[in-house]
Amino acid sequence: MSKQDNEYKRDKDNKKDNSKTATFFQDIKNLLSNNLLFQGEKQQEGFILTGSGQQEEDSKGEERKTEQKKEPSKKPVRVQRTLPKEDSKLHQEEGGLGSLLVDFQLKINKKYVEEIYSLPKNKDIVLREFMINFNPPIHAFAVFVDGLSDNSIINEFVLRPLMFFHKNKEIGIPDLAGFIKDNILPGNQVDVVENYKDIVEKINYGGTVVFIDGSPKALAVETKGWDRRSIGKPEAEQVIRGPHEAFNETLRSNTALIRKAVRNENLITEMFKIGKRNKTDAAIMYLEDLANPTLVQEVTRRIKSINTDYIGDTGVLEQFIEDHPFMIAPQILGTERPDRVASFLVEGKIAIIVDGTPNVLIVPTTFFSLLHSAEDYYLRMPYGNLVRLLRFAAIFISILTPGMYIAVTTFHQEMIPTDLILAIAASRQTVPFPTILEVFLMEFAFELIREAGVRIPGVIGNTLGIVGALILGQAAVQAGIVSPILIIVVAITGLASFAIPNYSMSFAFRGTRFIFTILAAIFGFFGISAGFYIFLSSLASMKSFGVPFLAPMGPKTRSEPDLFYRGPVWEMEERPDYLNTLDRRRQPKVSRKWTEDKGEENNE
Amino acid sequence: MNEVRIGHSEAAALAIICIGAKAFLGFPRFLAKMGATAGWMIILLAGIFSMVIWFGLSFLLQRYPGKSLTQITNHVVGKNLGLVFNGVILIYIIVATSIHLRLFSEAVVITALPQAPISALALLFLISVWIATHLGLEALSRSAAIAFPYLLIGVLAVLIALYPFWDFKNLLPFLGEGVTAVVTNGFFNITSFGEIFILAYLASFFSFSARRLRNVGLFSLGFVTLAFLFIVIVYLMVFPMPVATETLAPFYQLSRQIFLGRYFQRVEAVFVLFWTFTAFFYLSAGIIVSAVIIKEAVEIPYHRPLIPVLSIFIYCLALTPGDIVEIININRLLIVYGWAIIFAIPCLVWVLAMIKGKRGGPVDAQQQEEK
Amino acid sequence: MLNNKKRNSCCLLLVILLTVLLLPGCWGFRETDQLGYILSMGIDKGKENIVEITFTVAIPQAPGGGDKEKSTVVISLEAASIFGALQMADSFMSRDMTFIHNNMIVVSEEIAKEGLSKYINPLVRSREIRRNSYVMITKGKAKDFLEKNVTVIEKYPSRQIGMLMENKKHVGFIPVADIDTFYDGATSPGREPVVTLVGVNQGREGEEKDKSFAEKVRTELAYSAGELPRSGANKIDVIGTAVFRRDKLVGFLNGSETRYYQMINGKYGSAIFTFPDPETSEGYIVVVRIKQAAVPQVKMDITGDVPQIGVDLTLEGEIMSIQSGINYESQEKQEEFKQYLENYIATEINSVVEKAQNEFKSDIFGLGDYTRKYFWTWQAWNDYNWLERFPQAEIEVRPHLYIRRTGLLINTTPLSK
Repeated sequence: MSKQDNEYKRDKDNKKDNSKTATFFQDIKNLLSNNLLFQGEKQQEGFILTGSGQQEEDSKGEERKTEQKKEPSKKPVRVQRTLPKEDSKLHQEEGGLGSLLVDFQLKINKKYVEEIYSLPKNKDIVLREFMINFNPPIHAFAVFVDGLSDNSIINEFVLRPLMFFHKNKEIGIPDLAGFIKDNILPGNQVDVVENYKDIVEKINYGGTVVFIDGSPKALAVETKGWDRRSIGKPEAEQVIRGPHEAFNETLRSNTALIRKAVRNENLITEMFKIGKRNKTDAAIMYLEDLANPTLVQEVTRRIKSINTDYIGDTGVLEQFIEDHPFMIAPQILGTERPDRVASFLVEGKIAIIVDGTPNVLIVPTTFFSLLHSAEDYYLRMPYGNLVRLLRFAAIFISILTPGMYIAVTTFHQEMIPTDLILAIAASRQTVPFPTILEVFLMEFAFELIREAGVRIPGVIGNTLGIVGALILGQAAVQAGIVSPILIIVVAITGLASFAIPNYSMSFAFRGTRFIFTILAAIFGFFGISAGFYIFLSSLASMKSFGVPFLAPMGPKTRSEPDLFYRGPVWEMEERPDYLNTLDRRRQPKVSRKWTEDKGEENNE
Repeated sequence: MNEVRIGHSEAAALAIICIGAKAFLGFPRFLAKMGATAGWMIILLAGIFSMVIWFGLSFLLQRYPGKSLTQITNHVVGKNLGLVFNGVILIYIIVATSIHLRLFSEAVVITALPQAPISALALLFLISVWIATHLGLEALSRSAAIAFPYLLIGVLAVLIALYPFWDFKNLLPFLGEGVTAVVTNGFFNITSFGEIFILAYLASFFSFSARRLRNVGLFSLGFVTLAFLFIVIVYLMVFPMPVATETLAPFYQLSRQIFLGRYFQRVEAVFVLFWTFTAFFYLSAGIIVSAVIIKEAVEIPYHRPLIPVLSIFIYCLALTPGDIVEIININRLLIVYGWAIIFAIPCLVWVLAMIKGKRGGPVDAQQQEEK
Repeated sequence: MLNNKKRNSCCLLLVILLTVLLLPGCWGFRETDQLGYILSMGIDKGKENIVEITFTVAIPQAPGGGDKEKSTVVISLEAASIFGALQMADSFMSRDMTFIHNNMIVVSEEIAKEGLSKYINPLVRSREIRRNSYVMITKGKAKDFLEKNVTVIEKYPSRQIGMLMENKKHVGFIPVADIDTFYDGATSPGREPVVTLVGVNQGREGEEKDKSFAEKVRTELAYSAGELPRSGANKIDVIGTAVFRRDKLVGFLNGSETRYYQMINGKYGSAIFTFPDPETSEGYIVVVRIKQAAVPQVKMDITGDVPQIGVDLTLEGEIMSIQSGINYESQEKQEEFKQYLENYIATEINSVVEKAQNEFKSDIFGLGDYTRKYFWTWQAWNDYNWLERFPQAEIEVRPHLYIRRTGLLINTTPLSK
């Protein structure tokens, strides 16, 4: 892998030097050599999900390697009181800050803080100096970020006890910070910290740190309290039946929502910090007694290995950790519904939460879970199946309708009933474009309306979508630019693409339909067939965290009645085979005990 | 060892689709010509014969579990002679694949796109097949397993929609061209089931035991025999005897015949989707199996780099014959005499293996070395 | 994991290949409004050239638009062949003429007598022509027929003919024949083809004819196409059968005969029959709806030189009208009534069989296919040469009628005297 990367870099460098034409030929050459010639071993799959945790050692090794590569921070730190040299790993990792410790002298600490936060230029950071009301009073100062921390907490539970209580308390206690923590500060989370790395972390995430003169340790008080969105309704995954809660932008409340849904002591929340400049908080959640340990390890490995400066959203993280970035279908499911996450967690999957996004990622994801919606399970079986049936029809409609229309009307006209073909022919009589252009024109207009509808603020957006579609369609027909039947085709395609529950997947299908349209325009049904073959093959070759994307259909494994058809809930007895969970059984053979009990009673 | 693992349902689906693909070409007509009204009997006999042979050969495969027929040949007759044996098989597969590429492309020209140049259609076949084979055997077999039920539904839909045209009287006289013709042609026609050897040549990729492989093979053969039987019987019932020997693309002609009221007729174009789909699988399997045979015969580590070369070679070969009548004649020769290669060589290897009495010992040792 | 570059270049390669494929244009890409849809075709003897071909070409009309515009145009051309005429039409029609929506082929009697296979059989080779296009024979010129065929209810003649054939099939006075059945019939050693008979109605008034009451009742439907005494509506008649020996026209069956003929080959559905009242001498009729209840049972003995064939028909009847008011539905009379109807039908059917054997010498019933089971091999059956033996065969048709229902009445009270 790394060797290839190097080669890639070298290629890039070479290209910069050469002139443009040379670059072009180089491109062609590379293209040909990449595709026509063989280039040594290709690692097809980085990771295959198997039974147990044999990969442990390997991954650790790699972890270490990646960490060593991290570049040192460029921020100059002038004054330093560092840790002993032997802990060089830590030293390197945080580029100086990590090794910096709190000084005895308050003055020096103040200088450090001012240096780190560029005070007083930086107006967000508040440095409040005060006296601790001991005998004699001790100088101290508190540092916090305005807006991130709750002012009333700081006033009531940090400054007030320190400044007013314990008057005339004799000093001379060796561990001043510890004493204050144990006796004076009533906050529920107070830590004694001595490392600037931790201090900065706390401050940056809404904590308040109190430095005390003469103490080599500081106190970090939990005072998070910024304005946040309250828990609202899901925007993209609405249901009629089922909970109406959605995640919001706060990591902690998201984990709480999940924990609230999965009340189990085995639910593990592992926290990570991703990004070098930003250090976004991320968490993975899984049920320890279910999730395959290798899977957990792999997820951890992938997340930890990311070396970038900023990850602001799960959408970005998804792109960093997915298996096939160039394939058309998403391999990770993003959802904003805690109930959905919970249902995946109890299947043995892993949830990835990133602070600042209301979308939670689920890995591994299969094609079918991307096409299921939460409501399928909340509805009674017959209704759920009806919805499923509709949805699977919608998939084919959204992919194939424009292509089919093109293929049928331009290559296989004999298929259409005579009356209809004559009607189509009549309605096309005034249209000055070939059908293919007509289709692209309308599809383009439709996508435009859709995109604009998202961007246009608030209420106008929806209205514009409908009005735009109606008026544009009507006008286009009247102007004789497109035929009326085409409007039906485009409308039904668009409608069908909205019926796909997953946003990414719906994008995938929307994109694919253009490929099918082009293929159909060249080769008719044969083109569609070829396109479908490639589409199917590419889906079948994909993997999501070691799980074949089309599992449990390809490869065929044992599965619950929950693919196209959704069986009764009491029949779903086992967890998906492809996950290799630690506990396969979801419920016993007879989960509705009352049916059995009644039988016994009758027997008696 | 290969990291790719194919399960038994994937293997069976691939074998069934590859054997069954020829039902969409002139195969039913070919049978009608050979056996008249008893064409179906030929296919039944051929199916039974090939099942017997496969059953026998499976003992050879069971002797060397986890080894493909190529490797076994190499092991039994030695590398040099093995190269000759495998080379002959390879040439047969390449020729069969290219003939089918041409036949399928011709069929598309005839049935769906009369204006399109054959080279372009063959190219589209080839590009799709290339991409699919590039994605790997695993993806190929999985998509075969997924597509299989839908293809089956498509075929059944055609046959059952023709119900109003079924006339059992057309299957009489019972023995058609007579007992001798039926039995001899029944034997020669085992070549039509020759694609079952895909399983033998891909044996090193399977995640199941050689014993299971035998059952998978028997199941595939049985299933395909039934499918062929159904298709041929319906064909003979819908197109009475002298007419049945005339049509160029019998399955297409069958789908043209569908008439279920004024609204559901002229649907043959839809079925182009189904039979071209099987064509893709057939061609992909042909290319990938040739690549795997080369890989294992000369013991090189990868088969993927061979795919572009083989694809282009097959493409060129496919476009060599001049006209469709020539192609059909070559195909007929291939069916009548092909068994002498595809069935006889493995049988020869089997006999040699029995004479030499070589057990799987050395192979196992080799396996451990590789590990 | 494949490296990114490779993926990129794969995509690029695909795009390049697709563009290359696109460059020469889209082969066979034809817009719907680029085609001239031929809906029906007529074949006549030509004067200047070999044949005169008539096409009915659709003029596409938007649904809901113009109410009584002409929906078709009929063109005639003299050419050497059908496809030649198609080519010729391209010289003056703006659109690309195509057969893909052609669903009927009308052939004049004249051509049919010379042999139809010359014209129909080559059509089977064409991809555009449907094998299930209806084939019809018209007395007179096909051109006339297509020109006079002005649809009244339907918009396009293809729909009109489609519905006519579908709906009239089970009434039984036409055999439904398409290219496929004709082709199969003309090549099969076990049967002969028949074709629907159509014609242009001359708008004939009923004439005074010296016919007895019974004769009048008997010949109620005994008309061939074009002869029906009727007026109004469309000018064309679709009734009767054109009988072929191999591919040559040898005669016609009228509507009434066609019904009886179809009973034997099992394609008859259900139709209304009129019979003279069995007990009153003159002036009264009974009307019975008769339905074919089962596939005809054919028993044969071909050991001798003369094949002996017995056909058992199972028919079901429903009484629709009894003018005389006599209680034929009553228990006592029912058996007698049934006997009467069976005899009546048997006479009629056997006269049709006789006509086929003696006049046409053509096995239109497909009885030859029943002889297949007495042979082991195809060759042996072919050598038996059934079609030559058919005229000598002894054929007995035995209808078995069951009066299942009696309409809404169970009893009729005779007029009080």
